[in-house]
Amino acid sequence: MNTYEKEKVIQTFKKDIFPILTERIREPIIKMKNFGFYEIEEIRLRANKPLMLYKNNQGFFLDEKGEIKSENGLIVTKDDIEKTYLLMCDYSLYTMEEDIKQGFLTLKGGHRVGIAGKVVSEGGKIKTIKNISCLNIRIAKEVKGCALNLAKSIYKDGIKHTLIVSPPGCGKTTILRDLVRLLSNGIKEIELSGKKVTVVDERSEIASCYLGVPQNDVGIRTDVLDGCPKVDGLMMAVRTMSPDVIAVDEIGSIKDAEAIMDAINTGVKVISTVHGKDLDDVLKRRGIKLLFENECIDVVVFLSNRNGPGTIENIIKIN
Amino acid sequence: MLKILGGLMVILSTSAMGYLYSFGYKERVRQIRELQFCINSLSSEILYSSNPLWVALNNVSKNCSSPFKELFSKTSNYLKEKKLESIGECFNLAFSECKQNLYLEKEDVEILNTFIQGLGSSDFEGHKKNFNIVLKKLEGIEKEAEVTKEKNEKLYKYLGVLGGLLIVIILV
Repeated sequence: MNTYEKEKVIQTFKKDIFPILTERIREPIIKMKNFGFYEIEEIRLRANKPLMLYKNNQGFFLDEKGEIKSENGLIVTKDDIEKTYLLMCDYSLYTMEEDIKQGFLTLKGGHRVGIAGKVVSEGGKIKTIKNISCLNIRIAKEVKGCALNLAKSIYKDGIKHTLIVSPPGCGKTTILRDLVRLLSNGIKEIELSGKKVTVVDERSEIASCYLGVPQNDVGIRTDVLDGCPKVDGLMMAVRTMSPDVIAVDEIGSIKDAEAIMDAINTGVKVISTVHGKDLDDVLKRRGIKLLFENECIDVVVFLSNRNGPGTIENIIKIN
Repeated sequence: MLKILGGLMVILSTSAMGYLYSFGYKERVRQIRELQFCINSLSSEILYSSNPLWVALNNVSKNCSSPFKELFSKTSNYLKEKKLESIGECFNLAFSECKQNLYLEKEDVEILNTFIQGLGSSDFEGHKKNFNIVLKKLEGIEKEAEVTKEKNEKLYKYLGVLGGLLIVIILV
């Protein structure tokens, strides 16, 4: 990690992460000795269980003084979790109602927080999650330029329908965000002029909008439909924003696939991501299978964690 | 000559006291009305625009008059900075800083407090109920404050002037 990025991540922590943690938890993380807090990828809080930090997919415990421990770390209390939860929502749970139903929150800065607790359902539908007992804070790191080589290799003959495949935590969203930025600004090296891009950002992760304004750099020709359901968003984008490219995160269902096919029929290019390890894996998803059958995907990019997040394992060109 | 001057001063100061006292009653009614207006706009900020609390309070503070302007903008700032760990604490801090300009009785403050405690931690339905309850309570209190104002405003004004006269007459 070069110094510029390190500085930036430290700022991110100070601005987005520390204010939402309670003092008991914040202080040891700041004082941490063995490695800098900027290297943390995940912070996990579980009620009455020790605080856990993840770096390179490895978990660590931490004691009150900021010392790394193999066991018996600082215990997170129910109170810590409740306060953190309220702070995460800007003291306004009602604004997150829809997100909470899906089991996550997005913080300012695009960091995603998974939540678990007692799920209240009504008529088979999740109404809300109460008695939150586990929070998993995933720190989003914007890595500008990480997709440049990828973009150069797959878009040298023009933009193609692209599917990015990877297991969780391998940099799918980061790569997608950078692709969007590059396409929107244009890539001089392969003489690709800037394109109008619409991002359907259902989970507010790609552009990380805060009060409607993108916090991440997603390029100068990018419009963001923040918090918009994918299926509706795809139609809205085609009808109203006349984009050249639409980007969506984490597709999979038949409905997603149908919406993408509709959009493609109007002539736009679609860049999307999906959870999975290899081609067999993603073909098990009915939506993705449908997209393949209808030739709605030209390039598939596989990512892994092998040499750090965002390692490109394989690129399959279909058409 | 000196006696007249002294007497005038006594009368002037006691009437000023009377006026000030009666102003409190008038101001309380005005502030309760203003508060109702604020809570109404807060409800549309939250229920319609779905703004986070600090944005909602900030928007409300732009459209209302003192002392709630300061109270809400301060609360909004504390919430934005995440200065304290709960809404109630942030509000209480702002409240203690704006206290001297508030002419609210203890019961009014209690209503406001319960209302603030109920913000944030529930869904839209819960907020709707909270808004309805607080507005109904404030309406009741407004009526009651109006009655006390009618009764006391003139009383204290006259009491001030007449009290002064009485002192002067006794002394002379």
